[in-house]
Amino acid sequence: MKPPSTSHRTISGKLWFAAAFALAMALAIAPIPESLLLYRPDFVTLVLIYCCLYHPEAIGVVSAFVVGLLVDVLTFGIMGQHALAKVIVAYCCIRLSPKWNGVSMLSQAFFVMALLLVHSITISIVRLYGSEGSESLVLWISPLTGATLWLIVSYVIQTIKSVRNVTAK
Amino acid sequence: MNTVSGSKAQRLDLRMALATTIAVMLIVIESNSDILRNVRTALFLVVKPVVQVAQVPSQINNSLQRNFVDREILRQRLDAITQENFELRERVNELKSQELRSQWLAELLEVREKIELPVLPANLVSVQLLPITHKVVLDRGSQQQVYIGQPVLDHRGLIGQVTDVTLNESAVTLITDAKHSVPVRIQRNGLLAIAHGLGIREQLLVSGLRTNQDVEVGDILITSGLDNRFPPGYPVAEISSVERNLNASFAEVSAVALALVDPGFEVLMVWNNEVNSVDTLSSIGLNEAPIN
Repeated sequence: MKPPSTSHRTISGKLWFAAAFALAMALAIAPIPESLLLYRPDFVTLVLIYCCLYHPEAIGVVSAFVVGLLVDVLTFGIMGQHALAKVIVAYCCIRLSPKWNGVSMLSQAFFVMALLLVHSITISIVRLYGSEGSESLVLWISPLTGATLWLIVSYVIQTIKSVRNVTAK
Repeated sequence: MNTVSGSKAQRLDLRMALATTIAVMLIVIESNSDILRNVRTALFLVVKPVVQVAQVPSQINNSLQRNFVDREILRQRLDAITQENFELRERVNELKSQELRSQWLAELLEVREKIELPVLPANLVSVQLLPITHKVVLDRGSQQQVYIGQPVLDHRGLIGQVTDVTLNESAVTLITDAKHSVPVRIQRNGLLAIAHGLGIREQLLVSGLRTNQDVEVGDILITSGLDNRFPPGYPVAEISSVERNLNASFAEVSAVALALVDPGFEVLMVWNNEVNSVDTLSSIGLNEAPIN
């Protein structure tokens, strides 16, 4: 999951981030069975949270704005709604990232859920303003599934790391 | 790595303020005017590869389904289609004789002959059936002369209308979208009504029918064409329930949309030419009460 380059200023480093976001956007709009639509996690915001926490020097509010704008274009929604929500999430993330290390995995997942909720709240406020109607259930279920996905992925990564450490010793 | 020093924090705050302001400005402009449409079209070219990547899983799924279907299922399907074809042929013959009669009637009533409208098949790129907002994206855009307000159908009935166009894609708001309304007529007796979307899959609310008017469960609603947007005579929905409250002047009627939107299916875009020339770029006909 981690981009392999040491410096994120390099072109290959930036390409990694772009690829990650592009893949997340594709997952966000890929046609899936209707019964699963409600539970689809917000992949783009999850990737954004990851990048802001672990690579804040590469991905900040400006990148979040651009990514959000592209998501708006992609989903034919009101332009700026995802941009605004993602800027807020990125800002919170970067501000809170110093407190991130040493926190248990479960509380990390709760933190992620809170950020995803902030995202949902922002989107629904904008939708209310633009009288687009808010997709109530999707907005409130996806933070749950998103946080669960985060928990699973971070558990898998930790397991892989610990196995690696054991074999290295 | 994870420390935010003073000057960095200041820069972060500044960027945050700037990005938020621009985002809010965008939202305000978007909800009040159309001037960002070209920006959207241009930006869509950037995200086009993403759309193509997103289609890959469903394309693979479709081709798998096409190539590895059980022989028996194919056999059954073929039988069903043969049977349907047979019935349809019979119906066509019946209709031909009807057509002669209706032509004569039309001449009598000086009604203009129904013109065959040009159509273009299109594929679904993505489906967003979220509660409230029902939208799909098709693989035809302004390069194929797709216009805003253009009706979209499938073989069962009306699907919706185009509400956003980029170069090679267009977004279609479904008739079941909570903001969508379409003027309809009951096929059996010609009564006029309006079918509103509810944001619930397949469900429509039919307004404008009085308690004493002749509506029955099972009646088919067709487009009336009174909005000058949808061509008249296309099936829209089937009435599923009629509730008559004697104290109310209007009956509570709900209906089920006939067209189902499934990923991987083809739809038809119709050029309703006379409309196209009149109000291509005028406001999108959402929430308009077309019968005035």
